[in-house]
Amino acid sequence: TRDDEYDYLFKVVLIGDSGVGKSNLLSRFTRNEFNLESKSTIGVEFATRSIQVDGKTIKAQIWDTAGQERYRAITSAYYRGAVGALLVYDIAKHLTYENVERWLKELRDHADNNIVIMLVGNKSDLRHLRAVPTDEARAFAEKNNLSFIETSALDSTNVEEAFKNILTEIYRIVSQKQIADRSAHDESPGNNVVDISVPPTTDGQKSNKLQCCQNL
Amino acid sequence: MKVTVDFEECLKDSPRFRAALEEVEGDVTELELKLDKLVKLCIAMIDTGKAFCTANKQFMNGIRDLAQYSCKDTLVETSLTKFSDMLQEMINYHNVTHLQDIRKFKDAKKQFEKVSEEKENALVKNAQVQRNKQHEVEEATNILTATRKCFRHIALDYVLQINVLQSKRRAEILKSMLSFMYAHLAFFHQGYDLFGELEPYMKDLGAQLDQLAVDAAKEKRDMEQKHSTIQQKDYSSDDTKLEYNVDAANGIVMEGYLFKRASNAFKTWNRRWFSIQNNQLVYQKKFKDNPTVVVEDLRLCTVKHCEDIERRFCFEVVSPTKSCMLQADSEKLRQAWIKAVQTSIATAYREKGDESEKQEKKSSPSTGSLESGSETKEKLLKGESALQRVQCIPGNAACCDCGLADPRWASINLGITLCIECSGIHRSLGVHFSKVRSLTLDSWEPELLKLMCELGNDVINRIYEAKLEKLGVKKPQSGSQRQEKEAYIRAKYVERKFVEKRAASVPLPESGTKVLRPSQEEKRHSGPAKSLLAGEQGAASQKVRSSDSGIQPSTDDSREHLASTVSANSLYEPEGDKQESPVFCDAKQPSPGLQLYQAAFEKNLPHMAEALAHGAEVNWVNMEENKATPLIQAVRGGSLVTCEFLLQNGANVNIRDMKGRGPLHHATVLGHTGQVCLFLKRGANQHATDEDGKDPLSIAVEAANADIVTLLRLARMNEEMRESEGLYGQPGDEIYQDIFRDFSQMASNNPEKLNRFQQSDSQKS
Repeated sequence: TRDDEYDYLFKVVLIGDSGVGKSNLLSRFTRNEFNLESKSTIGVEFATRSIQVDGKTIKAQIWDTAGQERYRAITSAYYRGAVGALLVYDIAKHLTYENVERWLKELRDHADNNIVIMLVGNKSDLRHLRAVPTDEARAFAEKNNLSFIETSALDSTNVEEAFKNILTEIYRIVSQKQIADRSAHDESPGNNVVDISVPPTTDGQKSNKLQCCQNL
Repeated sequence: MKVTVDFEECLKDSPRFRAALEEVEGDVTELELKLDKLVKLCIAMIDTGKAFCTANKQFMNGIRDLAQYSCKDTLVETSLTKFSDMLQEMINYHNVTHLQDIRKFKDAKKQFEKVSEEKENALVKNAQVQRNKQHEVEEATNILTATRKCFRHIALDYVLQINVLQSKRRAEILKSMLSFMYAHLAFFHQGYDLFGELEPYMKDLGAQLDQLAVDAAKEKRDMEQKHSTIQQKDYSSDDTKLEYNVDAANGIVMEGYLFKRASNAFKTWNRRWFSIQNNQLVYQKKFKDNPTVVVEDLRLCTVKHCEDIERRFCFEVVSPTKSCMLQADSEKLRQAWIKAVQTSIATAYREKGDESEKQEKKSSPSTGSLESGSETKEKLLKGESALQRVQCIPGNAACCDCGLADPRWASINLGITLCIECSGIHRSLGVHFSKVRSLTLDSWEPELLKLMCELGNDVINRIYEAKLEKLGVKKPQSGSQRQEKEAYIRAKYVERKFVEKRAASVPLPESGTKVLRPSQEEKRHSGPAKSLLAGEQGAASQKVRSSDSGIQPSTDDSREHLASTVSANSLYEPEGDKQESPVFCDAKQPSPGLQLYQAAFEKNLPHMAEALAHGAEVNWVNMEENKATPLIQAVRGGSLVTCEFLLQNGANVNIRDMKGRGPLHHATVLGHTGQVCLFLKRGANQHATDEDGKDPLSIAVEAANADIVTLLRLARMNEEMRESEGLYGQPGDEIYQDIFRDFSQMASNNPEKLNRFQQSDSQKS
């Protein structure tokens, strides 16, 4: 079917304290659903959605992890192969923002060094209860080289943008690397290396290059 | 006797007496002050002494911790502490007694002062009395007389007290001092004695110390020499020292740092410690990490230069499932690595060649030293190969069937080691009799390796060669003809001729009679089923029983007809009573199926192997216990290896009990994460629902078992990905494989870590 064809498959993890709304961000993005009474996630849940970036189909395999890590035996399982992470906190609960440091450490310990991290302040609809100022979080994100966005899974604000931004950023990095590798490849023909991690892109690398530079 | 204050003077109450008295009082006050001070000092000393004792004790505990074997020193220290304790107490005591005398003196003084004042008053009154008032004169005189008498009395007492105190105080103070000094003497004397005893030892130690210093100096010299030589060597080649050595004593052919390109979309380059060992290319990040296997079997891979990449010194190791891009630090090192991989590939192919044998033999004794720093759990994955681990099991150093030394093959469902010729014969029997693997060339999953270590040639031969001597059959030798070996192996495992026969009711486990056996089994347990159900459910028994026999045939096609007919008959046969005992008590032999069933729960692999040798059906169904299978019992028993053994012997991972629960359901209910991982790897269907309509995932979610939920959901997602894409080896698939391998290794090597959920859960409740 049309839906199953894609050019890239990216694994993205949703992390952050329990109750910040990770599962609702996922359901809003993948199924356009929101559940005010959703139960806390056990272990991990998966969902996928494909988006178009630069004429390419990117399939996002999103791992929604449980915020309470006390039940996990193997933490590294959640981060294996992940190229993006949405680090979510609740703008109305300051503690969830304070714990962002802890989650960053976990990413440093278990995830790929180049993983793209986006700091997501969720529940932006709770304006009257705001406990984390936007500027403070943005400054923190800049200091730590993270992208930053505030979302509301409840009223859909910025949910699409959050996922699309991170996937685009990953795509930009991956396709640039690929161009670098390919251009080197072209010099030595007869090399039939099977590229396992990235399903082979058919053609149009030259045009990719232009698009990427524009993104910069 | 020296009298400080004269008694005569006391009666006169002269100014001289008063002056003397004043002097004495002053003296006593001063004494009192001094004694007070002394007492305070003494108390301070005691406190300090106590602090010293405590510190001393702590110090000694420290010494004890440092060296538990040199207990002699610490003993001496302990006794010293005891003495100082004693000493402090003595000093304390003496000072208290001395003070009591002064207190007495003070009381007397107070009384004297009071009476003296009264006398003064009386005297004044007496003087004031006028002549003409006769009765007043008389009264005053009387009072005066009385007071004077009293005064004299008290004054005398007081003087006595003064004198006593004066004379006593010299003695008392001296006495205290003396006992104090004696205490010290005793303390130091005992200390001296103890150290005297210790002296020879100390001298001895001193001598040893000198020797040690000499040795250390020598070692240091050697070390420096080595250092300088290596330094020279290091300077001579500007690269890190790396040598390729096939005969490496520790089994590590080559090791060193390489950059590895990550297989995810980013292709990040990470520096990792790589090594070629036991026919595998592995790497690790930190020493305590389990090494990650890049290439499980070097024979299946190729290595090549890679010039079409922006980085220098790159080479690629390509295996059928994946490729791995590596980067060395220099051209020289790249050549060394490529050569090492190529030579290892060649070596792996020359399995019977002299060189590899030499390498293997050399490697076995030295692994101990290699592994000394690491823990046993890592042995499985690191230096110690499957061969080494399996060969040290009793009997495994020689081929199970012909006795040839150093067997390098194994039958994984039997749990034995074989020489290459016998392994070929085993292969010809078919996988339902024997599954052959190479101990050196195949990769070994951790649970399979554990299985091999729980059985072994001795255990299996006790079962499969039990009647060998009685029958007078000669076991083939390593030099025997292949036909002879073949005939023997067929008789041993296929016909099971040398297995000790059970009670007469158990039929021969031969192919011809095989069809009959299950029916016999059915008879055995349908009998007790009746009595059990009758006992428990009374009238309902008939209904349940009939439904039993209705479902029976579907569980095992081969016994379909015979089973239903015979068991239907047997319900009314009197032998039901006779058969009851084997099921409910172990006094008589249970049926092989039941034995397998029970041994699976008891985690007794030898008994399970025995039951199989006696012809137990591996998917036997226990009609008394909800139609549970041995595999379900193995799940209940909680052992991973038992499950693996049954699966290797053909147990169906998807057979469910009467409540619709299969092994995966049971493992999930019991929170056995390792088993869940195993069953998913072995193709368990996780979509099956039990009688309550629950699949394993919903059970795990209800129980909030994060690890099992993760495994089930991950397997489910991978299933969907494979279905939609139809290709293996896509990135998601690799992540899936990696995570399952992590769990498998943890389940086999650190099962306690996977129990964390259970523990925290039980603590909570």
